[in-house]
Amino acid sequence: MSTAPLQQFGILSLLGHLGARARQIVQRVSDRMRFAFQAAAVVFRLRSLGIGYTWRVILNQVKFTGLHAVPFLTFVSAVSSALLVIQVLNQVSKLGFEAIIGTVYVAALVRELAPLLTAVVVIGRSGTAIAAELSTNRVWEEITALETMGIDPLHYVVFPRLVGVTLATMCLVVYFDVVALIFGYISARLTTGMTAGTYLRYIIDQFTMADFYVTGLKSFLFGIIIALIPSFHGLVVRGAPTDVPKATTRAVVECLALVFLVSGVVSALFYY
Amino acid sequence: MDIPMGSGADTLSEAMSGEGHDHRGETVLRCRGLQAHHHGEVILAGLDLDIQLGEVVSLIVESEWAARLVPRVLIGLESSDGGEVELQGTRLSGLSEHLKLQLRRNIGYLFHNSGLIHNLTVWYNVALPALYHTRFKDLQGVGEHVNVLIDRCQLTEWSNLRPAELDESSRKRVALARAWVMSPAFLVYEDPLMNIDTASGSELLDLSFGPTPPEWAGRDPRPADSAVLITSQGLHEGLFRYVDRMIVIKEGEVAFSGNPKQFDRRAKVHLRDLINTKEASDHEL
Repeated sequence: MSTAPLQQFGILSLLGHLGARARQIVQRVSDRMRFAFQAAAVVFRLRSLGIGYTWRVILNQVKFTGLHAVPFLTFVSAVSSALLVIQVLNQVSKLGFEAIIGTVYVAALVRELAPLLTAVVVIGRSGTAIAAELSTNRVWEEITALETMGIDPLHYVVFPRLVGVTLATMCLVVYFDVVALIFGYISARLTTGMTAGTYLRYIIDQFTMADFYVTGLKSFLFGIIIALIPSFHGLVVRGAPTDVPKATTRAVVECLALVFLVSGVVSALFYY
Repeated sequence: MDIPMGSGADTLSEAMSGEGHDHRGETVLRCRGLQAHHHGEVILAGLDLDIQLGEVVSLIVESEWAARLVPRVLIGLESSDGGEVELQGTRLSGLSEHLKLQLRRNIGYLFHNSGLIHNLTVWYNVALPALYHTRFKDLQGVGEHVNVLIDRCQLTEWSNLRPAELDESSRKRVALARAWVMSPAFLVYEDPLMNIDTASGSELLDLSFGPTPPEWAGRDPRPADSAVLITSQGLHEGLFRYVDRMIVIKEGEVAFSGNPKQFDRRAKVHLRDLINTKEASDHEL
């Protein structure tokens, strides 16, 4: 018996499977893009909708995402910068290459680790909270209740989170850099006895304007991702409370993947 | 009434200013040939319904799901499977979500499960629609109005609690105060007696439709002359005292429509399977 038809069937089946998968991915991307455009459209309707009562939600979001994250972010920033500085200086100080600490701080911490680690902390705290809260609101029909009151959920629920999380993330990245600068110096001082003046000179020599743009752009985009993706997953939930943890998990995984992808793309655009 | 509803309308006033809009505003809700299905079950098979300002209409359906779905279709929260709905003179089909939201500002909606926002206190739950829809400079009067409503619904001592700390009957009163806060022209009560006992149900109906108590004479904050639609699964005889018109839907068709006084023994026997045993026992039939 010839195996050709079977092989053909196998290839067709594989192609069919790949096609279906590709269609599913395109559908998912277009769903998220549509949601992002709808959320963005609220900004253009603000003249008629007004900020109104949403300022209270924005303040709460900034407080939760920004202020409440400070102790944990301080810990993450202090430990990561100290470890990095100690490891690098231990290797290079014997060769007299202490100046490399400026490159390490700017290239590794400011450009890459600060936005990424801040985003991971914000996803862990606020991304999960947004997805869990909105999906619970959906299950309890609180979102439907808002619609019956003539309240636009995109304006009342998503827009304040978008503004609050983006503002807070941008501030937290700057805060991360400052804490890393301080703990990096303490570590350098303890490891090699480096003076503050020398430490600062090494770092300032490495800074370029591009570093400010990249940090600002990354933190801005990360804030948008961390607000929109969990909001999307929270609001698409229908029905059962068992969908709440599923929505939260999906939101976290998708946020992490997108944040790393965007970080890579932005760095590639500016530095390669 | 045929209203040209171009998709290019950017504001509700623009949409409502179309030719044919009923500026006299007597009819709050009008639907023609409305159809709705749920998982193959016929909920509505061509309902024609008009509700005027000041009228209280009870729509009795066969299932809990139908009692939730029908009012939501009527205010454009869920899409219908056919027919037309006009809300305050504006046809819902073809209306954007943004314009539907604007239209619902003038509707008070009582959810079957109260639909309160769980992270807000009682006070903020009642105030939310007013705080959201009022310009900042006009906010001063909102607080006072909310306090009066909370007092009228006997919620003053719980105004700083969250919904989870209240019993279901109190949550319904909070939801009722919230439905009233914008003094809407159209009130929708979605299965209002669900999940509460008979005594609490009677209290809720008295609070909604009963005569104004002497201490509230001249300052009753309840919306005056609103049109009211009450949907419920089965028939609650407590409603008989307050409704102007009853419509019973059986298998999607109107099985009875008229004044409660016309709803005689024969009709009750005919619609026996729809009678809710809460208040109307077989013995009463």
